[in-house]
Amino acid sequence: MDGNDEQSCIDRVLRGEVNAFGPLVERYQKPIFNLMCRVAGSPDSAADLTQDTFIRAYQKLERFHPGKRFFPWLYSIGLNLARDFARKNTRDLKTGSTLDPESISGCNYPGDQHDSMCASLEFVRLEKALDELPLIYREALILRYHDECSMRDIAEALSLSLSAAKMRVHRGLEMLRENYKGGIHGTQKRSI
Amino acid sequence: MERKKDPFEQLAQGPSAKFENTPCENNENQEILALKRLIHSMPEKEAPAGLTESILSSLEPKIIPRWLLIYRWALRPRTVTFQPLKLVPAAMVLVLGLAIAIQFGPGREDRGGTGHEELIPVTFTLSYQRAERVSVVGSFNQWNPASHKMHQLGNRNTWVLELRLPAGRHEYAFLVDGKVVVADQSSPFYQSDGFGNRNSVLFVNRDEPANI
Amino acid sequence: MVSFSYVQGQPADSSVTASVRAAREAGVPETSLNRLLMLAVDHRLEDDGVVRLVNFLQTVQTENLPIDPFMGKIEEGLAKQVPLNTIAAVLAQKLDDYRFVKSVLARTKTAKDQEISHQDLNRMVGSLDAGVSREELARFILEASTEDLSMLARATESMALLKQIRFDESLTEEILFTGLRRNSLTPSWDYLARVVATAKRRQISDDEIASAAREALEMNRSFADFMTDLGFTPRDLRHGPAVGR
Repeated sequence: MDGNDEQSCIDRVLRGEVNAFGPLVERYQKPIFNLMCRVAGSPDSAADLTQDTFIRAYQKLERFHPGKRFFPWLYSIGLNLARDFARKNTRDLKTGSTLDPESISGCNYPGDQHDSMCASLEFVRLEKALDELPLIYREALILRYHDECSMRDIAEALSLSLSAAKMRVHRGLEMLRENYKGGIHGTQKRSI
Repeated sequence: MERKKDPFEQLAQGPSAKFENTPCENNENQEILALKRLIHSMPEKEAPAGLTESILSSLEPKIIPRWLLIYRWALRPRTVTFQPLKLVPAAMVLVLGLAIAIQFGPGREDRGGTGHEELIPVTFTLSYQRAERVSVVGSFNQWNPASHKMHQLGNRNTWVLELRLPAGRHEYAFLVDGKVVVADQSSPFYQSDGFGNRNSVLFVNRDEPANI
Repeated sequence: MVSFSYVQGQPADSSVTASVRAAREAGVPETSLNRLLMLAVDHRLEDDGVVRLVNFLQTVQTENLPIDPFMGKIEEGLAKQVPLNTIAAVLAQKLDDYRFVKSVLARTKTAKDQEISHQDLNRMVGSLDAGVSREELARFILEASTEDLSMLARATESMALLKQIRFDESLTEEILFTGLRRNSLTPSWDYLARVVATAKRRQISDDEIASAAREALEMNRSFADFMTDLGFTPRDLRHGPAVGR
């Protein structure tokens, strides 16, 4: 589905076809659900927040500027909800996950391939190091290097200027590197 | 004694990723590159089954005014093909649409100021029995109830909001449950809103955080 | 009862489009039009209501009046769920207030020589919503001897606020006319009414307050000096009144 297809879906939704929203949900539910998993303490909460994100996007759909990319706009809605959730649940915005380096988060990883990847210590360590970053820095890195968004899209998703978004990515990588190294040394001490 | 494993050494041997062919910036070290690869390969969690159906089932068909659909149509990037008989009205709408660039977004941003002046902390407190939700609406947030929602304290009749406002004069009121306008009864200054209510007036001074 | 229509096939022109185009050509800022259109979406206004509001903004613009106070009143009315007819009536009254104040200013020498800024005009008109009558405002403007329209605007606002807290009206005039005559009613005196309110709560008499204010303004001393004369420090004003108790 490209930008034109997305715009076509949006046009049909605005003309009263609820089901035309379905392809947009199918396309973007995974990254939004993963965002919420990083913030919420449970998969149920993450699912609720994901649902709230799409419902809110649907409610505001007439305000979505034609010709722009849908995902950054949707992401910014999700991020606002994630922040509100973290605030209400008095969670530190830096540590949205209860991930312990000795265990894997409660969300399910289907398939043998994902099971083996989850079992990989590098990913567990990475997730812990990402967890320790402030929310915006973490999401900037994921949008850039996992979701492969352009810097312009990242700026929009995070409600930042282009230069501020670039700074978050650059600085986020530096902080992640420090966290990752610190986490490794900590783990090694525990294993002795 | 075991040699301490360099964590980045393992990453460097990890799954290959698109970044292998990505030109490195000057002075970008291998540790950063390895982390980028790892983030790229990070497994994603699958969304719960049935989420799409659950979302769609909770939505109502939209009813959008005709004029808004016209604007959205005019704003869309498109190639104008020359059709003499149809060109003039289409062009008029397109010019109008391009001339009025409506600021779309997830929601109106509330700004206490223009972004250039210093903002001073202000705390609003309201005691009100049996309210479901309370907002502060005023000249500083375009009277938008969604901008500044108050939080309940442990005593559920007390609502609080802290925000930062530019120095100067501000008009405001509390909006309870989206419909009841409540002025600050203990504030000495007011402004008639013309609708039968009184708004309160707040003076924010640069030197003094205010508790209202 | 709100009613809308679907657009089928190729979109056509509409009355809203025409009114927005006319308003834009008349000089109504695009940001204001954008705000209004988004309000219309959020509050599901009917087409004729949107046209009515857009046409009103065009009138305001044509008379070279500030748009923002009217936009703010529309936003306020919609947020407070006021019927559109009532909002329209309030807007019309507000427009009349602006015309009234401009007509009074036109009778002063000062206004003949200089154009009043929108900010100062807003302050003067605002005093009418703060409880000052048109007659009181006109008399004050015509009797004040000043060439500084910003100071005059500040004075009219202070007059309104001091009236709200029941400060002696003759003493109010003495203070403000002194400040206008001596050109000493500077921006820091914006907080005059707030300090007076606190002073009254501390049982300081109106006479004592007025004496301190007149002296500070006559001698071109600072507002901080005035506060000190009353026994205040800035910290004293840090804890304002609580709300709703």
